[in-house]
Amino acid sequence: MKVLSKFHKNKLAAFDDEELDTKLSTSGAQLEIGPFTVNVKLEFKNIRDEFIKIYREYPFYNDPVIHDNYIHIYGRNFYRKYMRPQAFVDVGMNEEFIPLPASMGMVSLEMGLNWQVASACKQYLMFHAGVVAKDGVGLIMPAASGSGKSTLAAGLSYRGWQLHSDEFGLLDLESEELVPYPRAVSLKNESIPVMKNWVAQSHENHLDYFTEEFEGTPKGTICYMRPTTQSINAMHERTKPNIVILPIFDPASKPEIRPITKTMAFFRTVMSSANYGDIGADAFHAISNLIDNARVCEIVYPTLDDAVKLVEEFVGDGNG
Amino acid sequence: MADKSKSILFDKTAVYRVPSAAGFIWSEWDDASIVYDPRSGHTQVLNDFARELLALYEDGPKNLNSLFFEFEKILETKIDPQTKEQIVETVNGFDTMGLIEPVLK
Amino acid sequence: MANPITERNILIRVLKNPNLMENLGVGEWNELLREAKISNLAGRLSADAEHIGIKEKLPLKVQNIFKSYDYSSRSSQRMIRWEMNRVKRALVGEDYKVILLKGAAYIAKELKCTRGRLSVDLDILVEKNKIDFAEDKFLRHGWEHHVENDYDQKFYREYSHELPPLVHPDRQISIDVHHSILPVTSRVYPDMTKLVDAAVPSVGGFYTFSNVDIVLHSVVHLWQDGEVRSSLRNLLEQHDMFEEFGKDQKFWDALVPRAVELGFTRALYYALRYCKMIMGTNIPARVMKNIDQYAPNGLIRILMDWMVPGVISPTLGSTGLSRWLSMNGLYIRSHWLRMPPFMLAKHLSTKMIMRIKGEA
Repeated sequence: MKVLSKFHKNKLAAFDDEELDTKLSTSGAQLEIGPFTVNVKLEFKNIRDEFIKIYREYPFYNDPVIHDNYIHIYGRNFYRKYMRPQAFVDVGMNEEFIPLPASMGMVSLEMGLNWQVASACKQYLMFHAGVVAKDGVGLIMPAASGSGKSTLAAGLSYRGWQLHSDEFGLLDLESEELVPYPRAVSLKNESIPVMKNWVAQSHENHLDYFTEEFEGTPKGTICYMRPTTQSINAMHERTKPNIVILPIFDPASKPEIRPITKTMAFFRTVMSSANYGDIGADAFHAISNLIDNARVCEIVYPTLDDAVKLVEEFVGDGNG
Repeated sequence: MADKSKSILFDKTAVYRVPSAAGFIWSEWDDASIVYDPRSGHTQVLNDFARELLALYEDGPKNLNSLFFEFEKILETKIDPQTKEQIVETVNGFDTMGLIEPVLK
Repeated sequence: MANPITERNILIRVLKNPNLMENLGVGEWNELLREAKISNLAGRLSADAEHIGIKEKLPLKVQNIFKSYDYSSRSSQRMIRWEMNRVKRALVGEDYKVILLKGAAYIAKELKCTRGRLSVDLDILVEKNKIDFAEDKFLRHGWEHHVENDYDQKFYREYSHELPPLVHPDRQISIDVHHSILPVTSRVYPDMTKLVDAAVPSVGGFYTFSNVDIVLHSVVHLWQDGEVRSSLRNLLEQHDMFEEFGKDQKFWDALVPRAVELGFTRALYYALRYCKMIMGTNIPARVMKNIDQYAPNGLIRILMDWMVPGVISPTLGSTGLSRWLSMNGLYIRSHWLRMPPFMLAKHLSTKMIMRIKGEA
């Protein structure tokens, strides 16, 4: 059962694929992802098909609601739209995006959504981190790109954890709760077969969870995976953060949990935050409280399977 | 282009103080103190040595000599030239970050 | 003489009367927020709502969105104030006037136009014979030149009215150190000593221009030197200052004579005309009458009346060819005023070549 966002009183719509396609190609589909509502307009059929495959279980509004953002993907003229189609992105923010071929339009869409939340979201403290939750445990995994945090968060979410986000962890500054923002998980290069294999172990028809693989994008090969139905349905359920784990992916390593100091955890968490500097004192207080109340460690792991075991072990130690 | 090594801001003859408007916010853990300066919006981590030096400025304005004197009282021993150099380096850091400022005559 | 195009624009209507925010429908909110974000005025709307005490009555979604812009504008103003603090520290012992310009001056004077405002650079001015001393101090205290490219460095030093931007690696804010408020190549070039002499002490040992000169600087920057396209924020800032400084009748007495003295009458004519036409600014009739003698000839006036309201906000007015013409018409006008034609050609072609070669 989908819970309504506290922001909108309007009823959610249950669109079938065809209705969603019509919305996307006309006035736009009002998509809700966690605390944000975005109006999505897509002029290309192939992008709409990929979008619907990933987002069909998400809440959409039928009657107009106030949007945080809008995103419009369009072809600039007849020639470009039909002969050598290029997908242009309008995110309403005075920004020029490099157009990609329409066949990679889904990449443009996801990058546009990333840019909007990364550049304009200051009302929540944002961590470049994988965030998951289960049974009252709110787990933040701050890390740089390449640490495998995206894959790890996604991996945990297909083993019973609620996915908050694979790379945009949000914290409400007043309640100091983690705010889910379960976007499509963006998988790059080697992590694509790892996740496909991972999902196949526990889910039938596992390919339904993935878009096609987009080769030759600015970031290599990209594939999007939809979050679990449980994560989508729980997008308004918030959790207090109480564990911080710094993940380090190293194929040659022996799996290991290493202790770290609170100061180290504090600084790594601050460094992972894109808007700490803008938010200022409120962000300092929030991260100080978070680290005060959290158990912290670093894990080194060679495979996703090892990482999940280490996380479960560290989480379990706290309950024992 | 100016030589970077010359960029010592700290004035060894001046009296320094913690700015009255500073309003630092602190978080203290076992291994270090973290200070947030609401004027700059910057966060700094201070080890015990640096924390002690900044505390001396928080007690009241002082020049470098009286800083050495107070620090010796705490340590209950004379400080060697190497430590003095380290102190100057640290307070130059404070000055650069704006945690202390020279008192203008 | 309100303009029918800008009168229909929801952002301009709300800026003129923030109380309208209490009764907007969903569609109107989406239009307003879209326009405000593009014009960099969403923070202003939030500050206005706060100021008139209606923020808690706005839709929760809007309150949440505004919270983000509140943090942004507070952060940007904190960065400007802190950079001022660091500049002052670097210049301890220097005894010449360091004058705050633009956003920094507005912040120091806590003007209405700083409400919810985003400022990205710190602009200061010192007299031309002091600028090398100031630059030396900045470089010795850790600031670095942002422009490494030789051509741009040369352009700044020979033809510009400021040093190449300086950035301290610890902070992400750029300081522009000016010695004039207009490029030295401008056709109308003011006697800077007059402006510096009239500057008054402000916070933290800095100076600002006099109120009249602060407004004239903004005015000349927009209407003579800058780009009118998408400059609603600058028009609003002038509207705010006319109303705020204009509570003192002496401001109005001094305004036109000072513009005559500095050679800024045409720019002031445009500012007064379009502030009144678009924002409904309260300007004494005697001032409007007085500035009228400096109006351009009939054809230019008609063209400007046609172009300005259509481009002041990026989403306004006509589309297609007439919009293109009006945008580029205004761009060419202001760029043409900025430099003698032969130099303009050189600058553009060199830029173009570097862009093609991928060096710019």
